[in-house]
Amino acid sequence: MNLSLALALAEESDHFDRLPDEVVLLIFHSIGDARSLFRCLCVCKRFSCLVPRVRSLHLSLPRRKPISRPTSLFNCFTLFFSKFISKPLKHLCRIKPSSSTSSDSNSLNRVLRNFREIDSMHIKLPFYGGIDQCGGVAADGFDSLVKWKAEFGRDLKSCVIMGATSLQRIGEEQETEQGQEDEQVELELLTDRELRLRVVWIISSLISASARHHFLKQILSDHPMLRSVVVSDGNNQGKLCMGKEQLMEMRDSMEESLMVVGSNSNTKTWLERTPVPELSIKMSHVRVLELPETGYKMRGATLVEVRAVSGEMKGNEGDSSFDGEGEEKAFGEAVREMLKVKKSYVMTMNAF
Amino acid sequence: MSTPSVSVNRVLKLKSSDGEIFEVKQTVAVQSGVLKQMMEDGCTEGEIPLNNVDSPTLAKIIEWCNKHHDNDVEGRVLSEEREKEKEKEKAADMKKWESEFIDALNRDEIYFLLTGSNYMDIKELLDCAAQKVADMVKGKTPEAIREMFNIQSDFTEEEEEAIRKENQWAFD
Repeated sequence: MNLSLALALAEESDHFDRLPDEVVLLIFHSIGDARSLFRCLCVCKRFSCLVPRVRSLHLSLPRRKPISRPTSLFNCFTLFFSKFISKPLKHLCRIKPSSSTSSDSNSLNRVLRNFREIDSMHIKLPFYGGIDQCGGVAADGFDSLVKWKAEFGRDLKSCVIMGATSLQRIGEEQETEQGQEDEQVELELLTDRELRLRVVWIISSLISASARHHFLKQILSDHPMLRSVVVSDGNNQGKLCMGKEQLMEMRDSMEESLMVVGSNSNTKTWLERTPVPELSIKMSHVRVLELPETGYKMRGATLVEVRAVSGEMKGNEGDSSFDGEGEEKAFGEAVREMLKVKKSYVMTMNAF
Repeated sequence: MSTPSVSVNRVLKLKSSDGEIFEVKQTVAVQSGVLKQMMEDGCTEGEIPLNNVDSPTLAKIIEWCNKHHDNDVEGRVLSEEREKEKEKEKAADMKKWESEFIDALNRDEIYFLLTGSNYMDIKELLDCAAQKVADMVKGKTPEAIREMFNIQSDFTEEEEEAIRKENQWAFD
């Protein structure tokens, strides 16, 4: 065999063949997206051995398809999410134990079980807009102007909620009649209607957060190596973050409850969300908030800092709450600005 | 870079697998974990053979290291605010340069860059190349991935069918 033939053969050979495992793993790690990783599973035997060793997973659940295809495993997940996690407020009055819930989340868990060594997981729930499953129209523009970020241990520890009634680029804003009125009146206090809307924001965010927390429990018990979890959604509305210590606390509490309840624990798992503890809430409000850094103008800007009454006090963590791009960045700046506002409403909320 | 044996003006002679010699400043070469270790051990006299890296790849690797080195030493006597801004700008420029650098490579070149940067232990470059391959894999079907990288499936039809069935949702 002459040299050029040997070279030609070498070029024909499997590109991944000569890459060491750790480099292939680094590539898989950089893929992140769970769907693509699962497709890699059946490329070849080496891939199918290496993929499950990935440490970090970004699971982006697609938008729910019409429910007419219940056979698909994935539709079942998304149905489950739509019902109990993404739009909990809509279902607040009609949450009822559904026999499918458990099996749906189980199928997700079965899929995730392939990845035993995961230590960091980011689950992105599907984007919801348009027609709601029950036929109602989701109020999109309204929804997406509220962002929250929650920290949990065994229960809710804290939650930062930043909301606004409108967000426009400076210079591009269309002066609505409502807006002009606002400036004329220049009310310091919130009207009843406005206050009600804020309470809806708070409750909606908290329920959404605690439903996501509950949903993590099964995943946690299947993945002993998990050190960091983020559950976000397609609208970038809410983010539940849990670090190493919080996950440890959650694990401990799960073990405790297992010991207390013992074999009856199965009957308890029907609760679709983690109960929210008694809360102290601080809310500040600015009618028109200019954000020169990101170039936005926010109306009805409201920052809500929620803390569990029983939890220890920590410093302001609002600074790093929203650190994404574009509008998300504007919300980050808004939080920083709002933290400077001295006047605030203080209230408490009972556990629910 | 604090190692006493590293001086600004000294150069290393790197020899590629096909025998070409490349001269690299020591201050640039520290980006390679392997070369850094050799410098610390004081065994960089003469030619350093890199048997796993051919000359086109080594040229690329050195281009990368030079660029990232230049970026490090630029003098800065600026106010804090201004400096932050400058940093941001520089980071953005570097990102742009990196993506252009990587995008200009064909599949084989990226593959050799992966093996080369892994061998020489240049983490940033390895990460960047791995990300590029990851982006190529993303969203592709198993067939397309096999074709792209010349991978032969070693599954039987039944085995492959079973895996697909178990992970059906990824194929919808």
